[in-house]
Amino acid sequence: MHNLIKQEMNKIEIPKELRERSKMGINQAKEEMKKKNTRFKVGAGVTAVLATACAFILFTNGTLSIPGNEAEISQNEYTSVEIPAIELPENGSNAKMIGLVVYNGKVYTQTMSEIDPEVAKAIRGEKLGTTKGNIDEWSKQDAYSVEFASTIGVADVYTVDGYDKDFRIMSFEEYNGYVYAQFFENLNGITIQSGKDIFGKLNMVGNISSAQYRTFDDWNSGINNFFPIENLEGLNRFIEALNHAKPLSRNDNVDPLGDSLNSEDYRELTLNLVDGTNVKLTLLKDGYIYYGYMYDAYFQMNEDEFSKLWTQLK
Amino acid sequence: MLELVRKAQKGNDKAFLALFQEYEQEIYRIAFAYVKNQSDALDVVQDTAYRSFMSIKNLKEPKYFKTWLIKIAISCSIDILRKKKKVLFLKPNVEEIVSDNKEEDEVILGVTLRDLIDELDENEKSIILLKFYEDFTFKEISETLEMPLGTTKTIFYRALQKLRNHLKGDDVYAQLD
Repeated sequence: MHNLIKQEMNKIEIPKELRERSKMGINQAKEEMKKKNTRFKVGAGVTAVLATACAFILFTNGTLSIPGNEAEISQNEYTSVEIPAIELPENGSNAKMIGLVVYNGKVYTQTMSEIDPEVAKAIRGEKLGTTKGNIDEWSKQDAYSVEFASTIGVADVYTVDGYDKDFRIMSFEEYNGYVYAQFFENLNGITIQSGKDIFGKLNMVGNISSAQYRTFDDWNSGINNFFPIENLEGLNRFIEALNHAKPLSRNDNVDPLGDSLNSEDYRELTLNLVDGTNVKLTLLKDGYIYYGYMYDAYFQMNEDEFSKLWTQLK
Repeated sequence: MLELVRKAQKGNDKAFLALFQEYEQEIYRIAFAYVKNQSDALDVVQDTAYRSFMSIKNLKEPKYFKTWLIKIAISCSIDILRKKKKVLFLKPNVEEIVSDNKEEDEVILGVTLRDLIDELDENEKSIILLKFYEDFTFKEISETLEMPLGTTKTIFYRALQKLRNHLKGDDVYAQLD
Protein backbone atom coordinates (compact mmCIF):
# COMPACT_ATOMS: atom_id res chain seq x y z
CA MET A 1 0.00 0.00 0.00
CA HIS A 2 1.43 3.25 -1.08
CA ASN A 3 -0.04 5.77 1.28
CA LEU A 4 1.41 9.04 0.14
CA ILE A 5 -1.08 11.01 2.16
CA LYS A 6 0.29 9.57 5.38
CA GLN A 7 3.81 10.26 4.22
CA GLU A 8 2.92 13.81 3.26
CA MET A 9 1.22 14.44 6.59
CA ASN A 10 4.24 13.16 8.49
CA LYS A 11 6.37 15.72 6.70
CA ILE A 12 4.62 18.52 8.56
CA GLU A 13 7.25 19.82 10.93
CA ILE A 14 6.45 19.74 14.61
CA PRO A 15 7.21 23.12 16.26
CA LYS A 16 9.11 23.27 19.53
CA GLU A 17 6.23 25.05 21.18
CA LEU A 18 3.88 22.10 20.80
CA ARG A 19 4.53 20.57 24.20
CA GLU A 20 4.14 23.87 25.95
CA ARG A 21 0.89 24.65 24.21
CA SER A 22 -0.56 21.27 25.17
CA LYS A 23 0.32 21.95 28.76
CA MET A 24 -1.16 25.43 28.61
CA GLY A 25 -4.48 24.06 27.43
CA ILE A 26 -4.58 21.47 30.16
CA ASN A 27 -3.59 24.02 32.81
CA GLN A 28 -6.37 26.32 31.63
CA ALA A 29 -8.88 23.53 32.10
CA LYS A 30 -7.39 22.58 35.45
CA GLU A 31 -7.66 26.10 36.77
CA GLU A 32 -11.21 26.47 35.53
CA MET A 33 -12.22 23.26 37.25
CA LYS A 34 -10.61 24.51 40.45
CA LYS A 35 -12.61 27.72 40.28
CA LYS A 36 -15.79 25.75 39.95
CA ASN A 37 -14.94 23.72 43.02
CA THR A 38 -13.51 26.40 45.27
CA ARG A 39 -14.37 29.96 46.16
CA PHE A 40 -11.64 32.41 45.28
CA LYS A 41 -11.08 35.08 47.85
CA VAL A 42 -9.07 38.18 47.47
CA GLY A 43 -8.00 39.08 50.97
CA ALA A 44 -5.89 41.73 52.58
CA GLY A 45 -2.85 39.53 52.01
CA VAL A 46 -2.86 40.30 48.28
CA THR A 47 -0.94 43.52 47.73
CA ALA A 48 -1.04 45.65 44.60
CA VAL A 49 2.51 46.16 43.35
CA LEU A 50 2.17 48.18 40.14
CA ALA A 51 -0.47 48.65 37.47
CA THR A 52 0.48 45.32 35.86
CA ALA A 53 -0.93 42.20 34.24
CA CYS A 54 -2.83 41.23 31.20
CA ALA A 55 -2.31 38.19 29.03
CA PHE A 56 -5.06 39.00 26.63
CA ILE A 57 -4.28 39.86 23.10
CA LEU A 58 -6.96 40.78 20.61
CA PHE A 59 -6.14 39.67 17.12
CA THR A 60 -7.22 41.95 14.34
CA ASN A 61 -6.44 41.17 10.73
CA GLY A 62 -3.51 39.04 11.67
CA THR A 63 -1.72 41.69 13.72
CA LEU A 64 -1.51 41.96 17.46
CA SER A 65 -2.93 44.76 19.50
CA ILE A 66 -3.62 45.31 23.16
CA PRO A 67 -6.91 47.13 23.65
CA GLY A 68 -6.87 50.28 25.67
CA ASN A 69 -3.25 51.02 24.91
CA GLU A 70 -3.61 52.62 21.51
CA ALA A 71 -4.32 56.12 22.79
CA GLU A 72 -1.44 55.95 25.23
CA ILE A 73 1.36 55.21 22.79
CA SER A 74 3.32 58.34 22.19
CA GLN A 75 6.49 59.52 20.62
CA ASN A 76 8.37 62.54 21.87
CA GLU A 77 10.25 64.89 19.64
CA TYR A 78 13.35 62.72 19.90
CA THR A 79 11.53 59.75 18.35
CA SER A 80 11.52 57.65 21.49
CA VAL A 81 8.55 55.32 21.84
CA GLU A 82 6.87 54.80 25.16
CA ILE A 83 5.18 51.48 25.69
CA PRO A 84 2.86 51.44 28.68
CA ALA A 85 2.45 48.51 30.99
CA ILE A 86 0.00 45.87 29.85
CA GLU A 87 -3.53 46.32 31.11
CA LEU A 88 -6.53 44.02 31.16
CA PRO A 89 -9.20 44.85 28.53
CA GLU A 90 -12.81 45.26 29.66
CA ASN A 91 -14.07 42.60 27.32
CA GLY A 92 -11.98 39.47 27.09
CA SER A 93 -14.46 37.48 25.03
CA ASN A 94 -12.24 37.55 21.96
CA ALA A 95 -9.05 37.26 23.92
CA LYS A 96 -6.29 34.80 23.34
CA MET A 97 -3.79 33.77 25.94
CA ILE A 98 -0.06 34.14 25.69
CA GLY A 99 2.49 33.05 28.21
CA LEU A 100 3.31 35.58 30.88
CA VAL A 101 4.93 35.75 34.28
CA VAL A 102 4.72 38.52 36.83
CA TYR A 103 8.07 39.08 38.50
CA ASN A 104 9.21 41.93 40.66
CA GLY A 105 6.07 43.86 39.81
CA LYS A 106 6.59 43.65 36.06
CA VAL A 107 4.94 41.55 33.39
CA TYR A 108 7.25 39.35 31.36
CA THR A 109 5.76 37.89 28.20
CA GLN A 110 6.73 34.92 26.11
CA THR A 111 9.24 35.69 23.43
CA MET A 112 10.28 34.48 20.00
CA SER A 113 13.83 34.01 21.22
CA GLU A 114 14.35 30.36 22.02
CA ILE A 115 16.72 28.16 23.92
CA ASP A 116 17.50 24.56 23.20
CA PRO A 117 16.47 22.45 26.23
CA GLU A 118 19.93 20.90 26.55
CA VAL A 119 21.63 24.28 26.53
CA ALA A 120 19.10 25.81 28.91
CA LYS A 121 20.68 24.05 31.85
CA ALA A 122 24.04 25.55 31.06
CA ILE A 123 22.80 29.14 31.14
CA ARG A 124 20.24 28.71 33.87
CA GLY A 125 21.17 31.15 36.59
CA GLU A 126 19.76 31.90 39.99
CA LYS A 127 16.37 30.52 40.91
CA LEU A 128 13.94 33.37 41.47
CA GLY A 129 10.86 31.44 42.49
CA THR A 130 8.01 29.28 41.22
CA THR A 131 5.07 30.44 39.16
CA LYS A 132 1.55 30.05 40.44
CA GLY A 133 -0.30 29.39 37.18
CA ASN A 134 -3.26 31.30 38.50
CA ILE A 135 -4.12 33.51 35.56
CA ASP A 136 -6.61 32.72 32.82
CA GLU A 137 -9.05 34.74 30.73
CA TRP A 138 -11.47 34.95 33.62
CA SER A 139 -9.00 36.38 36.11
CA LYS A 140 -9.63 39.71 37.76
CA GLN A 141 -7.13 42.54 37.66
CA ASP A 142 -5.90 41.90 41.19
CA ALA A 143 -4.82 38.37 40.26
CA TYR A 144 -1.93 39.97 38.42
CA SER A 145 -0.59 41.76 41.44
CA VAL A 146 0.63 38.52 42.95
CA GLU A 147 4.33 37.85 42.55
CA PHE A 148 4.91 34.96 40.12
CA ALA A 149 1.33 35.03 38.94
CA SER A 150 1.39 33.45 35.49
CA THR A 151 -0.50 31.81 32.67
CA ILE A 152 2.03 29.01 32.30
CA GLY A 153 1.08 26.79 35.18
CA VAL A 154 3.56 25.86 37.86
CA ALA A 155 7.17 26.23 36.78
CA ASP A 156 10.44 27.30 38.32
CA VAL A 157 11.77 30.65 37.16
CA TYR A 158 15.44 31.53 36.87
CA THR A 159 17.68 34.32 35.77
CA VAL A 160 19.57 33.72 32.55
CA ASP A 161 23.34 33.94 32.73
CA GLY A 162 24.61 36.83 30.67
CA TYR A 163 21.26 38.65 30.50
CA ASP A 164 19.76 41.39 32.62
CA LYS A 165 16.99 39.91 34.74
CA ASP A 166 15.05 43.14 34.39
CA PHE A 167 14.79 42.19 30.72
CA ARG A 168 14.84 38.38 30.50
CA ILE A 169 14.02 35.47 32.79
CA MET A 170 13.50 31.80 32.06
CA SER A 171 10.98 29.16 33.05
CA PHE A 172 12.51 25.73 33.44
CA GLU A 173 11.01 22.37 34.32
CA GLU A 174 11.66 18.74 33.72
CA TYR A 175 8.86 16.23 33.31
CA ASN A 176 9.00 12.61 32.19
CA GLY A 177 12.54 13.09 30.99
CA TYR A 178 11.72 16.14 28.94
CA VAL A 179 13.09 19.61 29.63
CA TYR A 180 10.80 22.57 29.05
CA ALA A 181 12.58 25.91 28.98
CA GLN A 182 11.21 29.21 27.75
CA PHE A 183 12.32 32.81 27.84
CA PHE A 184 10.10 35.60 29.08
CA GLU A 185 10.94 39.24 28.49
CA ASN A 186 9.76 42.54 29.88
CA LEU A 187 8.78 44.52 26.80
CA ASN A 188 6.08 46.75 28.26
CA GLY A 189 6.18 49.65 30.64
CA ILE A 190 9.36 50.83 28.94
CA THR A 191 10.64 53.71 26.83
CA ILE A 192 12.60 52.92 23.70
CA GLN A 193 15.06 55.60 22.64
CA SER A 194 16.80 53.52 19.99
CA GLY A 195 17.25 49.96 18.86
CA LYS A 196 19.86 49.51 21.55
CA ASP A 197 17.14 49.52 24.23
CA ILE A 198 15.89 46.21 22.83
CA PHE A 199 18.49 44.69 20.56
CA GLY A 200 21.34 45.66 22.85
CA LYS A 201 19.85 43.46 25.54
CA LEU A 202 19.87 40.40 23.31
CA ASN A 203 23.69 40.19 23.44
CA MET A 204 23.98 39.63 19.71
CA VAL A 205 27.00 41.79 18.83
CA GLY A 206 30.05 39.59 18.38
CA ASN A 207 28.17 36.52 19.62
CA ILE A 208 26.63 35.10 16.48
CA SER A 209 27.79 31.61 15.59
CA SER A 210 25.51 31.15 12.58
CA ALA A 211 22.36 32.52 11.02
CA GLN A 212 19.67 31.53 8.59
CA TYR A 213 16.51 32.93 7.08
CA ARG A 214 13.32 31.78 5.43
CA THR A 215 10.62 33.40 3.34
CA PHE A 216 7.16 34.41 4.47
CA ASP A 217 5.47 31.51 2.69
CA ASP A 218 7.67 28.94 4.39
CA TRP A 219 7.30 30.61 7.77
CA ASN A 220 3.55 30.85 7.46
CA SER A 221 3.26 27.23 6.34
CA GLY A 222 5.54 25.96 9.07
CA ILE A 223 8.07 24.68 6.57
CA ASN A 224 11.62 24.64 7.89
CA ASN A 225 13.16 25.62 4.57
CA PHE A 226 16.01 27.73 5.89
CA PHE A 227 18.78 29.34 3.89
CA PRO A 228 22.11 29.93 5.64
CA ILE A 229 23.72 33.35 5.74
CA GLU A 230 27.27 32.96 4.57
CA ASN A 231 28.60 36.46 5.10
CA LEU A 232 28.73 36.69 8.88
CA GLU A 233 30.93 39.75 8.76
CA GLY A 234 28.22 41.63 6.92
CA LEU A 235 25.64 40.23 9.29
CA ASN A 236 27.58 41.50 12.29
CA ARG A 237 27.66 44.98 10.79
CA PHE A 238 23.91 44.76 10.43
CA ILE A 239 23.54 43.68 14.06
CA GLU A 240 25.66 46.60 15.21
CA ALA A 241 23.56 48.95 13.13
CA LEU A 242 20.44 47.61 14.86
CA ASN A 243 21.50 49.45 17.99
CA HIS A 244 21.02 52.71 16.13
CA ALA A 245 17.71 51.78 14.55
CA LYS A 246 14.87 54.23 14.92
CA PRO A 247 11.93 53.05 17.02
CA LEU A 248 8.47 53.63 15.58
CA SER A 249 5.07 53.33 17.20
CA ARG A 250 2.73 50.87 15.49
CA ASN A 251 -0.15 53.08 16.50
CA ASP A 252 1.18 56.49 15.46
CA ASN A 253 2.47 55.28 12.10
CA VAL A 254 1.13 53.28 9.20
CA ASP A 255 2.47 49.89 10.17
CA PRO A 256 3.90 48.31 7.01
CA LEU A 257 3.68 44.76 8.34
CA GLY A 258 0.11 44.17 7.22
CA ASP A 259 0.93 44.90 3.58
CA SER A 260 4.15 42.93 3.61
CA LEU A 261 2.93 39.45 4.38
CA ASN A 262 4.40 37.92 1.26
CA SER A 263 7.64 36.27 0.26
CA GLU A 264 8.89 39.23 -1.67
CA ASP A 265 8.80 41.67 1.23
CA TYR A 266 9.14 39.50 4.35
CA ARG A 267 11.94 37.45 5.85
CA GLU A 268 12.27 35.66 9.15
CA LEU A 269 15.90 35.92 10.30
CA THR A 270 17.18 33.51 12.94
CA LEU A 271 20.41 34.34 14.72
CA ASN A 272 22.10 31.49 16.58
CA LEU A 273 24.22 32.84 19.39
CA VAL A 274 27.27 31.17 20.91
CA ASP A 275 25.44 30.66 24.22
CA GLY A 276 22.82 28.52 22.51
CA THR A 277 20.03 31.05 22.31
CA ASN A 278 18.26 31.71 19.03
CA VAL A 279 16.91 35.16 18.27
CA LYS A 280 14.22 35.59 15.64
CA LEU A 281 13.71 38.88 13.86
CA THR A 282 11.21 39.83 11.20
CA LEU A 283 12.64 41.92 8.38
CA LEU A 284 10.69 43.84 5.78
CA LYS A 285 12.25 44.82 2.49
CA ASP A 286 11.94 48.57 3.04
CA GLY A 287 14.17 48.53 6.08
CA TYR A 288 11.85 47.64 8.93
CA ILE A 289 12.61 45.26 11.75
CA TYR A 290 10.23 43.62 14.21
CA TYR A 291 11.17 41.68 17.29
CA GLY A 292 9.03 38.84 18.49
CA TYR A 293 5.79 39.71 20.21
CA MET A 294 6.49 43.43 20.62
CA TYR A 295 2.99 44.73 20.16
CA ASP A 296 3.50 48.45 20.00
CA ALA A 297 6.80 49.22 18.38
CA TYR A 298 8.95 48.34 15.44
CA PHE A 299 12.19 49.70 14.05
CA GLN A 300 13.58 51.30 10.95
CA MET A 301 17.19 51.08 9.92
CA ASN A 302 19.38 53.24 7.73
CA GLU A 303 18.55 52.18 4.18
CA ASP A 304 22.14 51.66 3.13
CA GLU A 305 22.98 49.40 6.06
CA PHE A 306 19.77 47.44 5.72
CA SER A 307 20.07 46.84 1.99
CA LYS A 308 23.51 45.31 2.39
CA LEU A 309 21.98 42.51 4.41
CA TRP A 310 18.78 42.28 2.40
CA THR A 311 20.72 41.38 -0.74
CA GLN A 312 21.91 38.28 1.11
CA LEU A 313 18.34 37.24 1.81
CA LYS A 314 17.15 36.85 -1.76
CA MET B 1 -3.90 3.56 28.79
CA LEU B 2 -7.28 2.71 30.29
CA GLU B 3 -5.87 3.33 33.74
CA LEU B 4 -4.59 6.75 32.68
CA VAL B 5 -8.02 7.62 31.27
CA ARG B 6 -9.69 6.65 34.52
CA LYS B 7 -7.20 8.77 36.48
CA ALA B 8 -7.74 11.68 34.15
CA GLN B 9 -11.49 11.35 34.56
CA LYS B 10 -10.93 11.84 38.28
CA GLY B 11 -9.14 15.10 37.58
CA ASN B 12 -5.52 13.92 37.46
CA ASP B 13 -3.97 16.42 35.07
CA LYS B 14 -0.61 14.64 34.89
CA ALA B 15 -2.33 11.46 33.78
CA PHE B 16 -4.22 13.41 31.15
CA LEU B 17 -1.04 15.12 30.00
CA ALA B 18 0.63 11.75 29.49
CA LEU B 19 -2.37 10.62 27.44
CA PHE B 20 -2.57 13.78 25.39
CA GLN B 21 1.13 13.90 24.61
CA GLU B 22 0.81 10.48 23.01
CA TYR B 23 -1.32 12.05 20.29
CA GLU B 24 -0.36 15.73 20.26
CA GLN B 25 1.78 15.46 17.14
CA GLU B 26 -1.04 13.79 15.21
CA ILE B 27 -3.46 16.42 16.45
CA TYR B 28 -1.09 19.17 15.35
CA ARG B 29 -0.66 17.70 11.87
CA ILE B 30 -4.38 17.22 11.40
CA ALA B 31 -4.98 20.78 12.56
CA PHE B 32 -2.31 22.06 10.21
CA ALA B 33 -4.01 20.33 7.29
CA TYR B 34 -7.10 22.42 8.04
CA VAL B 35 -5.75 25.78 9.11
CA LYS B 36 -2.60 25.74 6.96
CA ASN B 37 -0.35 27.66 9.32
CA GLN B 38 1.65 26.96 12.44
CA SER B 39 0.13 29.61 14.65
CA ASP B 40 -3.47 28.49 14.20
CA ALA B 41 -2.50 24.84 14.37
CA LEU B 42 -0.89 25.43 17.76
CA ASP B 43 -4.05 27.22 18.86
CA VAL B 44 -6.03 24.15 17.85
CA VAL B 45 -3.77 21.93 19.90
CA GLN B 46 -4.18 24.14 22.95
CA ASP B 47 -7.96 24.37 22.49
CA THR B 48 -8.17 20.61 22.02
CA ALA B 49 -6.21 20.00 25.20
CA TYR B 50 -8.46 22.40 27.06
CA ARG B 51 -11.75 21.04 25.76
CA SER B 52 -10.80 17.41 26.09
CA PHE B 53 -9.59 17.69 29.69
CA MET B 54 -12.71 19.68 30.57
CA SER B 55 -14.96 16.99 29.15
CA ILE B 56 -13.11 13.73 29.68
CA LYS B 57 -15.58 12.78 32.36
CA ASN B 58 -18.13 12.45 29.57
CA LEU B 59 -16.10 9.81 27.74
CA LYS B 60 -18.12 6.65 28.31
CA GLU B 61 -15.75 4.18 26.67
CA PRO B 62 -12.10 4.87 27.59
CA LYS B 63 -10.92 2.58 24.80
CA TYR B 64 -12.22 5.11 22.29
CA PHE B 65 -10.09 7.90 23.77
CA LYS B 66 -8.11 8.53 20.57
CA THR B 67 -11.19 8.62 18.36
CA TRP B 68 -12.85 11.03 20.74
CA LEU B 69 -9.76 13.24 20.88
CA ILE B 70 -9.42 13.43 17.09
CA LYS B 71 -13.06 14.42 16.83
CA ILE B 72 -12.46 17.32 19.22
CA ALA B 73 -9.38 18.37 17.24
CA ILE B 74 -11.32 18.47 13.98
CA SER B 75 -14.07 20.44 15.66
CA CYS B 76 -11.56 22.96 17.03
CA SER B 77 -9.93 23.27 13.62
CA ILE B 78 -13.21 24.01 11.90
CA ASP B 79 -14.14 26.48 14.66
CA ILE B 80 -11.01 28.47 13.96
CA LEU B 81 -11.70 28.44 10.26
CA ARG B 82 -15.25 29.64 10.89
CA LYS B 83 -14.03 32.45 13.11
CA LYS B 84 -11.71 33.56 10.38
CA LYS B 85 -14.47 33.02 7.80
CA LYS B 86 -12.21 30.85 5.73
CA VAL B 87 -14.53 27.90 5.30
CA LEU B 88 -17.70 27.37 3.33
CA PHE B 89 -19.51 24.21 4.28
CA LEU B 90 -20.90 22.25 1.38
CA LYS B 91 -23.69 19.81 1.96
CA PRO B 92 -22.75 16.35 0.72
CA ASN B 93 -24.46 15.68 -2.57
CA VAL B 94 -25.12 11.97 -2.72
CA GLU B 95 -26.00 12.23 -6.39
CA GLU B 96 -22.56 13.36 -7.37
CA ILE B 97 -20.24 11.12 -9.25
CA VAL B 98 -19.11 8.10 -7.28
CA SER B 99 -16.01 6.43 -8.44
CA ASP B 100 -16.38 2.90 -9.75
CA ASN B 101 -12.90 2.25 -8.52
CA LYS B 102 -13.30 0.89 -5.03
CA GLU B 103 -9.60 0.30 -4.49
CA GLU B 104 -9.57 2.72 -1.63
CA ASP B 105 -6.16 1.71 -0.44
CA GLU B 106 -4.52 2.62 -3.70
CA VAL B 107 -3.87 6.30 -3.25
CA ILE B 108 -3.08 8.42 -6.26
CA LEU B 109 0.61 8.51 -6.98
CA GLY B 110 2.09 11.93 -6.60
CA VAL B 111 -0.70 13.45 -4.51
CA THR B 112 0.69 16.24 -2.37
CA LEU B 113 -0.55 17.77 0.78
CA ARG B 114 -1.22 20.96 -1.09
CA ASP B 115 -3.51 19.08 -3.46
CA LEU B 116 -5.35 17.73 -0.46
CA ILE B 117 -5.76 21.12 1.09
CA ASP B 118 -6.69 23.03 -2.01
CA GLU B 119 -9.09 20.66 -3.69
CA LEU B 120 -11.25 19.25 -0.93
CA ASP B 121 -14.06 20.76 1.06
CA GLU B 122 -14.07 20.30 4.81
CA ASN B 123 -16.12 17.11 4.88
CA GLU B 124 -13.99 15.53 2.17
CA LYS B 125 -10.80 16.58 3.90
CA SER B 126 -11.96 15.18 7.23
CA ILE B 127 -12.78 11.80 5.72
CA ILE B 128 -9.60 11.53 3.68
CA LEU B 129 -7.45 12.42 6.71
CA LEU B 130 -9.24 10.02 9.01
CA LYS B 131 -9.08 7.23 6.44
CA PHE B 132 -5.50 7.57 5.26
CA TYR B 133 -3.73 9.33 8.07
CA GLU B 134 -5.52 7.86 11.08
CA ASP B 135 -6.44 4.53 9.48
CA PHE B 136 -10.02 4.77 10.70
CA THR B 137 -12.58 2.40 9.30
CA PHE B 138 -15.60 3.88 7.55
CA LYS B 139 -17.66 2.99 10.58
CA GLU B 140 -15.29 4.90 12.88
CA ILE B 141 -15.28 7.84 10.49
CA SER B 142 -19.06 7.97 10.32
CA GLU B 143 -19.27 7.91 14.12
CA THR B 144 -16.56 10.56 14.50
CA LEU B 145 -18.14 12.93 12.03
CA GLU B 146 -21.68 11.98 12.98
CA MET B 147 -22.84 11.26 9.46
CA PRO B 148 -24.46 8.18 7.94
CA LEU B 149 -22.11 5.41 6.88
CA GLY B 150 -23.33 5.52 3.29
CA THR B 151 -22.77 9.26 3.07
CA THR B 152 -19.29 8.82 4.47
CA LYS B 153 -18.36 6.40 1.71
CA THR B 154 -19.95 8.55 -0.96
CA ILE B 155 -18.01 11.61 0.10
CA PHE B 156 -14.84 9.55 0.32
CA TYR B 157 -15.09 8.33 -3.26
CA ARG B 158 -16.04 11.80 -4.42
CA ALA B 159 -12.89 13.15 -2.77
CA LEU B 160 -10.75 10.54 -4.48
CA GLN B 161 -12.36 11.42 -7.80
CA LYS B 162 -11.54 15.08 -7.23
CA LEU B 163 -7.93 14.32 -6.51
CA ARG B 164 -7.60 12.10 -9.57
CA ASN B 165 -9.22 14.73 -11.76
CA HIS B 166 -6.94 17.39 -10.33
CA LEU B 167 -3.89 15.39 -11.18
CA LYS B 168 -5.17 14.78 -14.69
CA GLY B 169 -5.70 18.53 -15.09
CA ASP B 170 -9.45 18.19 -15.59
CA ASP B 171 -11.97 20.49 -13.99
CA VAL B 172 -14.52 18.25 -12.32
CA TYR B 173 -16.95 21.13 -11.85
CA ALA B 174 -16.84 22.04 -15.51
CA GLN B 175 -17.77 18.46 -16.28
CA LEU B 176 -20.76 18.69 -14.01
CA ASP B 177 -22.08 21.88 -15.63
